[in-house]
Amino acid sequence: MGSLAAVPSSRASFHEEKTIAALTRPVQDSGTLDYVRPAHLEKHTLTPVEEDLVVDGERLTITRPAAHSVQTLNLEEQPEIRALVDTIRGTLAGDLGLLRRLYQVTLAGSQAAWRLTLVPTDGRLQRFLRVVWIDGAGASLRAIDTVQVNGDRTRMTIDPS
Amino acid sequence: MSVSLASARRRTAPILLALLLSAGLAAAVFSRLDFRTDMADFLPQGRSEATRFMLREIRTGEAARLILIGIEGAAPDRLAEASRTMAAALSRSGRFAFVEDGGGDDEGAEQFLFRHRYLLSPATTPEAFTTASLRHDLEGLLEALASSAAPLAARYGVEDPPGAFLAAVRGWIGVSPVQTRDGVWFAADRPRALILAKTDAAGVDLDAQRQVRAAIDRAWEAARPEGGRLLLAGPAIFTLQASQAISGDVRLIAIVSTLLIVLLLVWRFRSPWVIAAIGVPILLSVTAAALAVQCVFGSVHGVTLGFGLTMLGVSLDYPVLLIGHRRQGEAIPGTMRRIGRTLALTVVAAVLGLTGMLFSSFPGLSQLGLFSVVGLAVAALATRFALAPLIVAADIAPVSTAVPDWLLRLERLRLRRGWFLALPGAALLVLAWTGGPMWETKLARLSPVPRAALALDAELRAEIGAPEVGRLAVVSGADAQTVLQREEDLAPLLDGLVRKGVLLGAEMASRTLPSARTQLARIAALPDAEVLAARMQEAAAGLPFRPDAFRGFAEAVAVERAMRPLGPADITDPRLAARLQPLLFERDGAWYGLIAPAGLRDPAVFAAALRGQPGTAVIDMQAETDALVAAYTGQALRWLGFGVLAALAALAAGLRSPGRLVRVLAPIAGAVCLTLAVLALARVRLSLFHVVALQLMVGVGLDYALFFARRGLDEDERARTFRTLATCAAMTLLSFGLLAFCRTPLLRGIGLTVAVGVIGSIFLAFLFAGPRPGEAT
Repeated sequence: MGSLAAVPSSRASFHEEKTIAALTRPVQDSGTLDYVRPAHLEKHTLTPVEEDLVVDGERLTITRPAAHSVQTLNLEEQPEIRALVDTIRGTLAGDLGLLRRLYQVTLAGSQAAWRLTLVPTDGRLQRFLRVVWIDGAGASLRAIDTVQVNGDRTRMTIDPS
Repeated sequence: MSVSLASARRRTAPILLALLLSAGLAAAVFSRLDFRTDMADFLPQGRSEATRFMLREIRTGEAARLILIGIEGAAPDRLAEASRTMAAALSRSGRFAFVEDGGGDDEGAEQFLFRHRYLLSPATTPEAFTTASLRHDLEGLLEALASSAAPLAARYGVEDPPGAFLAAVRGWIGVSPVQTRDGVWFAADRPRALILAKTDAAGVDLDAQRQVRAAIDRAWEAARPEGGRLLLAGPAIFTLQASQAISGDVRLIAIVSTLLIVLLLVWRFRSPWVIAAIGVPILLSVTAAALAVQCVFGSVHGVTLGFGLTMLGVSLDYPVLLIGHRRQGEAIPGTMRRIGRTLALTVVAAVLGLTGMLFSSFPGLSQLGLFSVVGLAVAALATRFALAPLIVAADIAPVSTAVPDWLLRLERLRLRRGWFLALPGAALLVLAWTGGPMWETKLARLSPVPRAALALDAELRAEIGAPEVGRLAVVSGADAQTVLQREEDLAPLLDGLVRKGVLLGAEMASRTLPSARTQLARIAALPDAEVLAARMQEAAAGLPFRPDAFRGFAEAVAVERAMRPLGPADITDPRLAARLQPLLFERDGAWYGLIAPAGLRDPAVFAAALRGQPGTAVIDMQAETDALVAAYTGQALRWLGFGVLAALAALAAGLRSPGRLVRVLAPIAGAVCLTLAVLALARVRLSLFHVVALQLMVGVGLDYALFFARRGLDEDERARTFRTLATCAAMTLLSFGLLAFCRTPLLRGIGLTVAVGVIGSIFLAFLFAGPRPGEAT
């Protein structure tokens, strides 16, 4: 975590696989992640449908060029989305304090291959999130695995570029 | 030495005994009185049914219980923490129906809305359940599941492809500009945490609101962040502040003026016993007056007592007039021969003058009238029959008896009194020039609430999105369903006004809880299980959804299809009830719905559009109360006029000479002109309270004129009269005149009225009512 806190900005490509109870097969998507300390995060999904998700401070903007739609949210008013954003931002920033506000945090493994286990303690979060595992190597993130209460699961793997 | 001390004790023992008896009687009566501080009992009840209803709502209803709280002056995260601590402490205090800081758990409300989404959502239409529409919804859902919004889509979208839940939630959230940060409400454009609370007690229940205020202060002590400021607004807060400002002013003035009057009387009569003796008629009169009000009205209002005590300041003159005119060693009949008739006439005229107030339909004013009439009459009787024997027994009388040279010199002024006609003449000119006395038509200007506080109220109200209490429309009906249907019929009209920019939006109950008619139509729009299953199968063809993915959706539709429409009684979740109840409620068997406009830019257009709609009334509280005050002022003036006529008749009968009647009335009329002119120059607008003060001033002016107008007096008696009346005037100035130094504008106006009136009366009465030196009497 400490080494993460020293990274001023990072860029990586990601691949996401969502296992959703309602669907017969997992949903795949991929794109790039950009992060600038301390609170700026961009997730550009390139396939299957182009989508730009930009978080700047407390403002989240989702742009879907195909649907000509731009959606702006105040994260303060969307506690679920905020918790997810903070999970990623908190990890990228190496901000253990932020994570501990939302989760019971346990760190395992070595500097070369570590795993962060996040179990929600916050009531709103507990209602839909069961656990988040974050895997990393040194100062870079490798995977974020999110399991929801209803069994839906999202696994994001990250390749630093 | 010891002998004279013992005899002095014997002579004064009756005074002490009488004082103790009257004090005991007063204590016994006052401990059994039913005191009220609720202003609703004191103020006018309204002219029409609608006004009466709204006035009651404004004073005791939901709106008057709202308290708006702002916290600022620290970093946002500290403010949020303080807001949470404060809201929790307020909730625990048990004095609030609800405390809303934007945080907290709204799971219950959310579940209720989710379970009744198709009944409550405007998205429930027959078209929404066609195969084509469902297909469109499922394609959108699939896209959402692949996007970053997947958790939300999975949570709500799969069980509700048509999106009825989100549309229902929007109706309950309403139009509020408030923002949520760190889980609590913040103002949109500045770091200020906001809390909205509603007290259990009525806004005008001052005792309860004092407890509420204490609870707020305690909560703030616990929550206060470094450098943080607490902002409070709301009708209940202002009522309390005003009452505290007034009682603070009055308490200080009462202490100072009592002290000064005691000093004056002790100096004047060189005996502390005079204070004890005067206490007897005063205590008896206050006790009798309060008892009479209790018997007639069933309770005594705090304002009656406060204002009534000031009216009784006139009755303080009676014992002083008696003692001041007594000669050392004189028995009762001797003194009464000289002043009895005049004293009786002043009492009768003053009492008749006040009877007019008795007939006012302004409840407070008629209570005040009864209090004053009984108080004055009892004070006079007690002076004659209780005080007189006591002072004779103790031989209390003025000590200075020599006729001073300055009195004779002063009396020579009467030879040139024609010159002094210039004073009332100038007053008349001033009145003509300023267009006569200005009347206060706006109740708001009488309000002791500072403008800054009202501005803060408006600001917090706008930030939190709480409706303005002043301007709204009321829809009424025999039952809740009639009201909800009428509101739904008004919705297109209101939406049109929003599009035209007349207002930003309107809160009303039917936006949250639709009428049974609408809910039945929505139930009818839901397809039965077989039809829905067939359409969903067709709509999902070729999409990667599991066959049983939408079981929750199908079940929900089936359950709601079998539901009966929801009524107000079904909304029991505290959050939802807190939202609905202020907008829809039952009073005395009828139902009322409030339409509260937000961001009203053009009140006239809003009012014109809604006027004439069935069961709908547009209420402008400002205009209503102003009209009410004007109507009551007019009525009160008419009754006062009758009182004055009765007093005039008594004076004419008692004086038995048109010439003397003119001599008595002219100085008072002159003093009234002077007072009105000074008030006009000071730009004071006259209200009912000033009229009451003018009446007080006329009452004491009458004492002066009648006593100066007595004929055939030797120099000794004239000196006694002059000194006694000067003492009376000084007492009135020391009590009411001191009100001129109050912070509360209303009390200041009354003080100014009485001070100018008393000085003018005694001066003009001395000059014009008394005989010129050498004049035949």
